[in-house]
Amino acid sequence: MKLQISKSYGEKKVFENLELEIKEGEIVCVLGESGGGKTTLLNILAGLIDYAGERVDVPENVGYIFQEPRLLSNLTVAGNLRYVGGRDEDIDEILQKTEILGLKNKRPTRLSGGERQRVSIARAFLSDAPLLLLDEPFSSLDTALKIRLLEVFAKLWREKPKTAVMVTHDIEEACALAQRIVVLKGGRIVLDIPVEGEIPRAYGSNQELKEKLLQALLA
Amino acid sequence: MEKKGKKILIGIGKGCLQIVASFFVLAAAWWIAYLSAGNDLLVPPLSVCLKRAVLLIGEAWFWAGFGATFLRVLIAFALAFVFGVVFAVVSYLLPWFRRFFSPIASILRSLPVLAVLLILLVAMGTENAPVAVAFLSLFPMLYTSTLTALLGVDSQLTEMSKVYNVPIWKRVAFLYLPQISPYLIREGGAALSFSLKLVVSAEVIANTYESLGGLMQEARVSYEMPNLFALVILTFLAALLLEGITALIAAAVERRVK
Repeated sequence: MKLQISKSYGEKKVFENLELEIKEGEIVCVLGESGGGKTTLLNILAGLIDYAGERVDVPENVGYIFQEPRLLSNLTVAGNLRYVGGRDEDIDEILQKTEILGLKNKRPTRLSGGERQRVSIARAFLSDAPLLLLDEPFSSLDTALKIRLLEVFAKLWREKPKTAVMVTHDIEEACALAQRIVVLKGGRIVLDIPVEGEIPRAYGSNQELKEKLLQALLA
Repeated sequence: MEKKGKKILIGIGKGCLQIVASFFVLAAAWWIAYLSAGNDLLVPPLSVCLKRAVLLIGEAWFWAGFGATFLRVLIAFALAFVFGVVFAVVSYLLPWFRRFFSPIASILRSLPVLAVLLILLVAMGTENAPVAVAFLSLFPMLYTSTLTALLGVDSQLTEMSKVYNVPIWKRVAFLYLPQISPYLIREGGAALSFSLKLVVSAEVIANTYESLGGLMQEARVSYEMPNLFALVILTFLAALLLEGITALIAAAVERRVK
């Protein structure tokens, strides 16, 4: 899929003729500072906001893992998955894979932050959407939990590879999960770099890559 | 579950205590008014009025009047609720309509309804005018409450529903209704109680035949002050009961939803 977009909020320009091409089945991480337009980019991909320009071959159906889990508190875990169209047999399977089958009949208010985010990941993979969007999904979690959820995500992705676009300001997250990292700064792409190795990569590894990314962010 | 039941009972107990305390305060206020008036014809003793109220409950003509008034209240409320919700939903979905209708709602809210009643009496007669007056007051109230509730629905959840292409009926059943219903039930209860007071007031002015208001007017004209006060007390208790029941229902719905 291909994007060539511009977006402004009143006088403030977020992007101007930003071009981005993403291969099918690729996990692309968009790295940038807060307020840099990363979430705006995701929302344009999701069709939630207007933009100028064009999107080519961007699927209508997407799965979205938000920064907050965004679960309905009046429904159980299974109910939340049924809400987005999940069938009972598929729900059990995805809950098994995300290791939360035992929480199926619990309400989100009874779950920890990590458990709620697992439900959110399950919801995104439950749909047949060919595109996954991730908006800093692990930012509110501690490191140990983050690593566990990265492993859960990677496991699910390996079983059913989908195109994924993740935005984050966390370099470690980007290095752990991305097959390609794009650094966004001032509404422009300042670095676009492939990343080798099977995901999830170990936290704390690949220092050389991290230095490159840091330089691009700070330049 | 046992803990929950205990909590509910404690809540009801506290509520009852509050009501009893309020009753004593009101009784004290009545006593002061009785002493100040110094004339049983103007302000009869509370005990006399309460005894008369108990007697009234046994009278068929009282229930005929009460029934007719209550029917008017229900009709006014039902119409105001339906129109209020429909207009609120349209306003929620169409911001231009919200901007267009907002001044109209403000005008309706500011209408001196009992003055309007005099005009409506000519056009609609003594039986229907109280219904129209109550509708004109309740409709902007329920419109505003419903719209406020809709605008208060968690926008993150509506966004998630949009992203996942959740069908409209599911959004209404599982997102909107659970979020707005406790608030709407509470506001609806307050509106229903207010409707009773409005309809009775309108019936007093209109001297509507076979109504609580009409009975009050009759009692006033014949200086049956204990009867008049008894009718007022019974109307007040009915309004209180309505509000209390809907508050309990709203609390139960809220517990179920949360």
